[in-house]
Amino acid sequence: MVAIGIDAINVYPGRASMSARTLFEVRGLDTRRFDNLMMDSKSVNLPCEDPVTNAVNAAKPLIDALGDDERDRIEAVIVGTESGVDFGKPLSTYVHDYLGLSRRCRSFEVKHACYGGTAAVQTAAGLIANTPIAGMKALVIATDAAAKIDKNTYWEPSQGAGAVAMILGEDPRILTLDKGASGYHSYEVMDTARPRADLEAGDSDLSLMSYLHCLKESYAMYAERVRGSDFLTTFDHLAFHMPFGGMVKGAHRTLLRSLYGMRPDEVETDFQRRLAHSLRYGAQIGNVYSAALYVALCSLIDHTPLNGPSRLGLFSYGSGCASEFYSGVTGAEASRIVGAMGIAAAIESRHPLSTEEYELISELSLHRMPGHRHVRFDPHPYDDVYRKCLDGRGLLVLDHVTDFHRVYRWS
Amino acid sequence: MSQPATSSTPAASDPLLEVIGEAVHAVVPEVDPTDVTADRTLAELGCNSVDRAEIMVAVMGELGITIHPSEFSRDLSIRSLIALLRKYE
Repeated sequence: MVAIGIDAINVYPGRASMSARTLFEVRGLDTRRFDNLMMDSKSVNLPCEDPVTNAVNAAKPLIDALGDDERDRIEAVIVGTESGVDFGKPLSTYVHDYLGLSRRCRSFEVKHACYGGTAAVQTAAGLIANTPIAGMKALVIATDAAAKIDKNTYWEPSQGAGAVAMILGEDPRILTLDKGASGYHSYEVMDTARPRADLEAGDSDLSLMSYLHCLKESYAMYAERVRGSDFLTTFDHLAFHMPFGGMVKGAHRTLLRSLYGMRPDEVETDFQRRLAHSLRYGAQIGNVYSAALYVALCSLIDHTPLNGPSRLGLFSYGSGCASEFYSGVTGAEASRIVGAMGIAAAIESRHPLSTEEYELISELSLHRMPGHRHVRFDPHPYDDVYRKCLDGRGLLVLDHVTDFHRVYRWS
Repeated sequence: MSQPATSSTPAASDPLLEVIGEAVHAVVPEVDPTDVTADRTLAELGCNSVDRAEIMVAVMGELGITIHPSEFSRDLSIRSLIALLRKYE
């Protein structure tokens, strides 16, 4: 049986950030229990960035590292997102074009809120498994950006931006998926949604309870499918979809109490050993929606000493809702390959926005939302931030929209 | 004006109110169980969304019931919560 999974991976964490504590204070939010939310900052897109630029900027280093022959083996570009830029034309068309991929390539977008990244990964793995032709690759990108900033809500400090790009193929170097080792749990619920391009609506309590319920139920199905599996001993490490760290920590605690009746100190020991490292990047980037689980995966690999191949348990949740618990085994060189992408340095190099800069950028960002017929993205109103973040860096940015067609340029 | 007594109005010594009060105190030790009264919300008591979910899980565990997530909503008052729990007793 051919091994299939993630052969290369990279995170684009944006070029600007905003402090979560500052936002709590500026908005007058209740800070009494701030620490258990485990939020440091969030990534913020500039007005000339959108989910397309995030996707391309995450994927370009991976594509550039391929030889011409390898690049032409990419037979599918699949983009998971909940912030698409058009009802019909998928984001993948822009991504395919600006990355210069072969025209002999499938191209489509998948959507299921924050589950979209995992839907794309599993779809790509299925396409590769289904072909009799050896060496096929798929480019999978989970990309998102916050809709209009919801001022004075508890969502706002967590609303991040960015993307994770992955190349899937045979004999992967990062993570081999355990074939068939998946449990799912899905049902209709209105916990969070994007009913308009400029609106994120929802109920955080309902979403949290649904996440907890889905973790328990999807793992229960996994345990039925994978005979002899045990949550405590089967997985060397864990990574969960991460809207914010406190939610992940709470979900882990709830599951361990439910499965094993563990004491708080035992839960904490397990959390520190298997899960805490996966939260470090997300605490700085914020919620990257469909990409959040894969940011957690990179954080785990970059911060955990992996002593040889390690089995990871991965949990994906998307509001609405769909969820999946699945597993895979890291490759011997996973740490070296992910480390070489310089993700920690990219996060560190973001420009920390002042409150005034953040307010201006949030306001101007409304123009990048879908539905605008003609827009020119002039960085002049935030020239200083643009120069610090993007100018001369060779990153893709939005130039203008003409008759709804998005046109990009390299910064 | 005092609220008329109904089947969903908890009495001062309502055992469900006590279960909720103990769960709140266990999750957020700064909150005294006696401050957990029917006319307040968990958010007013300083419990954030993570705390509220943990309190609900603890209460369901203590009562041995499972409430489907679709029944929960933000800003649920403790009076409404007791009424919800009573449906599952």
